[in-house]
Amino acid sequence: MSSKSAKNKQLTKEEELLLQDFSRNVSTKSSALFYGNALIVSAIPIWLFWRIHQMDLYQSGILFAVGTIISTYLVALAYKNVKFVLKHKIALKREDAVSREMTKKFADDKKMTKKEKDERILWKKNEVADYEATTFSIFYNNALYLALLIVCSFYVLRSVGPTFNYLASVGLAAGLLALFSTSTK
Amino acid sequence: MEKKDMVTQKYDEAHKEKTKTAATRIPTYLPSPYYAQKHIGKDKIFPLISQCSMKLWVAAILLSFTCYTFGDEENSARLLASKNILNQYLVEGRDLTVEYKIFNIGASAALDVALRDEGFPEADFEVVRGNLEVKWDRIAPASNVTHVVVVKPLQYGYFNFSSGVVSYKETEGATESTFGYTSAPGEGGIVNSKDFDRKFSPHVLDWSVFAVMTLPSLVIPFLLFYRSKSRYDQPKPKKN
Repeated sequence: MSSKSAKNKQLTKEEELLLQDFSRNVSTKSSALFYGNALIVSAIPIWLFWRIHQMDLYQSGILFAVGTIISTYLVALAYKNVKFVLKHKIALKREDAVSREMTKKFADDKKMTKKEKDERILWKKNEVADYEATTFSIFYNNALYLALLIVCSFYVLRSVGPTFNYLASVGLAAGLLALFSTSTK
Repeated sequence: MEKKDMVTQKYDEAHKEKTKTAATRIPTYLPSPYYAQKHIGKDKIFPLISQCSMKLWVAAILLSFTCYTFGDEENSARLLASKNILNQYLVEGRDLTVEYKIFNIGASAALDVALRDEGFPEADFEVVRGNLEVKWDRIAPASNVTHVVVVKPLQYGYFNFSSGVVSYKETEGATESTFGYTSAPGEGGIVNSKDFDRKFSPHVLDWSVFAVMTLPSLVIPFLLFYRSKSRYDQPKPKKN
């Protein structure tokens, strides 16, 4: 009975891992990480528009808040999408290295069953892929967002009034970022 | 006189041929300018020219005459004064350079020369350097003096730069001063400092702060990724 329940538990854990591996949903922790990062990177343009486009912080406070919220949502969405695509690619790449490392680690441990080892490897692989995909997605999207924003605001919309410039460039940069992230290649 | 006549005659002939060839080239259907030229002809044009030059001569003679009669005395001083704004852009809160030049075109020195400019009200301008009231004891004939004042506009918008007043004594013995005005630069638009900064300031400090702000959000995730990548990517080269 106890072994059966243990088996059940193991299966559910495996299922959970598999589910986690293949779903777009992210854990609360990584979601918080995404939104936090997205908020920071979305708030940075305020500095540019305050100091360089000479917008008034208090007068345009509402505009800045709205722009930041919209951009935070879109950037976080881009993080998630890119992470999802990357995770599979990285998992495939890291498979050998991770399993080699894990088998080396468990070589002395003869008590562990093969299944448990496999499970541990799978779990580690998932963790490594998740970690790398998350960090790379944040880096890539931040860089792309800032580059798009600077190009929009200082080249494309250079001659436009600052208020419209802020809304358009933040909207465009975040929108394009979200759009690019939906590509599966 | 004879020589002159010969010259005009020669010119006349040359022109005659020219107009002839020109006339042959001009089609008759062409509209008014050509048509008019063709029909006025040289006979009508030349009297017109000679009339004009006559008028000019008369005007020149009259002018010199008036100059002679209205010029006070041969030995008096005459001042011409100009006022110029040297800046290309007039910007609120930034230095604005005003240059005054006084030329003495008279035959004697101008004495007790005073230049006063009340065209910069305190509410709108702050004097940074120089004085808006200056005096020179004498300005020698055929010489000039230059005076520069740096002011700072306190408000933006259009401002009418009016002329300054110059007073001087024309001769040594003159009891009364002569007054004159400098030229007036006219109306100028003073640009809002915000607009000016938006267009022309390089914002080096602002951009560097921006770089410092963006750096952590780019470097930290990349370093974390790179650390993990280099940890698991190492075995690959061995394989190959």
